[in-house]
Amino acid sequence: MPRVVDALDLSESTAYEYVDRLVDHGLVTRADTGRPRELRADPVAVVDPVGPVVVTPTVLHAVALAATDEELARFGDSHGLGTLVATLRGAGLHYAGETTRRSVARDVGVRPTEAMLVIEALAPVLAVGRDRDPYFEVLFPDVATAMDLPDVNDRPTVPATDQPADNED
Amino acid sequence: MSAAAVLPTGAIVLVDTNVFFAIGGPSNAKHRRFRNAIRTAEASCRLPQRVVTELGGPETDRIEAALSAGWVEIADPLDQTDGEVVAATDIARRTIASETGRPKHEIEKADTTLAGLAIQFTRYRSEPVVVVTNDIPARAGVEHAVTASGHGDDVDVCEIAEVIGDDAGDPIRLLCPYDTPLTTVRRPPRRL
Repeated sequence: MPRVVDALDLSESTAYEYVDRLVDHGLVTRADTGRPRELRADPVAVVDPVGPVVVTPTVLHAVALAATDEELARFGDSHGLGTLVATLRGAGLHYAGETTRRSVARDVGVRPTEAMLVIEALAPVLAVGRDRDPYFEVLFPDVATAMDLPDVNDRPTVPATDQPADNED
Repeated sequence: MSAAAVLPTGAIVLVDTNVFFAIGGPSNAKHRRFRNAIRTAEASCRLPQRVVTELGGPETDRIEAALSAGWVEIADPLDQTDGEVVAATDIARRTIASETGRPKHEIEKADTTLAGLAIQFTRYRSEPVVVVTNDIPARAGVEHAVTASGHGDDVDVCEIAEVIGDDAGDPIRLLCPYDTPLTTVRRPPRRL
């Protein structure tokens, strides 16, 4: 718990409230013994058998990133999180060579430049999802292994909230 | 980071809209690397008019800044009366349609313009031509068009990483960076 409180910069009472809610929903388990209490969250996927709704850790990562990334937040505010997730799906198809970025824009109903910005911004989400999301193939049944993305195991990772380096060399 | 592929000296570099989202704004290191690559090669960076329009027009901050700094120019319009140019855009369109399983009429003109402009420049100018786009099917379309037009040796088609260097050293920005392996448990997806 202390690590969650620190990482999310929340008050202790708010963090406990959120974690209690996740525990109630069965998304997080909390050890009954030991101090501090250890939390565990196994990856889950939710699939609507009727509607086109699939929620996997990769989808949650994209939505959560929109809470910290200004440009993704603006996209989510303008078009809704459903369109953001549809663009995530389009981004996956693009990196698998199945669609152009401009076609993704048309398919999800946004301007080409908006789709290009999001497709670029979501590449790390797809890269880590392919590596770590056990349900990645549920989201991308035909193309999960065909995407041309950076290998997250070969590259350093930094918090998305950090500003990109202004200088180099 | 591996060394950047060196642009041919004096090259005409045709740039797609998506490149500007890959390199970020003028203060971004990748943007600076691209600008330096253009200047070092004494190359000429040309933006197709469709790209300028997509980015918001020539008065948009980032275009205006690049134009006034002198490292970017707006490309001549596509010559629709040149049969070879028109043929190149058609080959690009057919290739993209085939790669993406869409009807030809759904392929955006901005995705095929680069192929036509590449042929136009290589036919009327002596400088080497480089086309830069990060769009995977669009790149395949330009590659096929220039090869089928017999200009495969005159036109390079690449993504931005090939110009500014392999970005293997650039960190991946994640919500929750990690440096230790996770164990993951997979259960059947839940149904709503």
